Amino acid sequence: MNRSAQPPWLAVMLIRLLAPKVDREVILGDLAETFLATAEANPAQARADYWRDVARSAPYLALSRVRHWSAVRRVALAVVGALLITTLWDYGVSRNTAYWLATRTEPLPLITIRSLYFVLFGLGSVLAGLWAGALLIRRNDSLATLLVQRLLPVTLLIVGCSLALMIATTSAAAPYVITKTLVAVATILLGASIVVPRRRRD
Amino acid sequence: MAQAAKNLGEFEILVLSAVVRLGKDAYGVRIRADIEQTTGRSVAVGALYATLGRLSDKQLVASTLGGATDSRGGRSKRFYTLTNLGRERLRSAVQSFERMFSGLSLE
Repeated sequence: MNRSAQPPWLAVMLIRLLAPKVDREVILGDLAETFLATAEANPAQARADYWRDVARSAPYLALSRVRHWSAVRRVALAVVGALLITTLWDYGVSRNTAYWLATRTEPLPLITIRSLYFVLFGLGSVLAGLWAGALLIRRNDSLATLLVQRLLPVTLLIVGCSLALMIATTSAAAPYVITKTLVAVATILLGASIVVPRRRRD
Repeated sequence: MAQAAKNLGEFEILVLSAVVRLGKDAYGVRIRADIEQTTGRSVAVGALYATLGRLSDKQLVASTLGGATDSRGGRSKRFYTLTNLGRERLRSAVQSFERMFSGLSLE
């Protein structure tokens, strides 16, 4: 079998990493069956579909796996995750926006910028709280679904666009700009891949 | 409150209906294709298995592993069937919808 008739190995690794052990091989089997059905006629399309499926499935699988963990591990992840989200949101959105507003040709009053910063920071904290809740409340399916289907892509798109905005409006050293550009592109692509539906073939 | 906790979600109802419709052929790929064909909405494999796992935790579906096949890269299928409780809950959900929609005029 040539390489193009094989599912992308990195996507397979991602599923192995994220999927709960009990479902791992079955999910890989389902993905392989769908992939092989398309790969004969159009290998490139099959690989693209495989990646899109994995990207859209990753949050569900990760959440599903974590919800089978012990309470101690879930609490630890909720705390670390909430801190991480708060920090990323702070640097990616709140500070970026405040910096952008302060460095415009006609900057807004300081009190307005500070207020806006705290409102945005508060939104990030609410988001972190929701994530922590979804991890801690094992039975709260609607909250988990809401987070995965709606808030995750929206968060990724906001953070990505905010980073892109900062890159476009500031001058900085090349490695810094390249790193931020890569993060911005990856974040936007991941967010978009969750909300853009897979093409149906009848 | 206890009744609310027992309610099935929309996607759970779609999955249970697909499992009933497919009978002995109810496994991941087929369930997904059935939902996509009947509703027109795209289903992520992760969303399907997260829901099947939840339904299994609630003892609404049971599963058995099939044999490995070449068309799946040598991996097995997992076949799903409704338990008596699952059938009862789906029937109750369908009856609720029927009551809700009876006499409804959208003209």
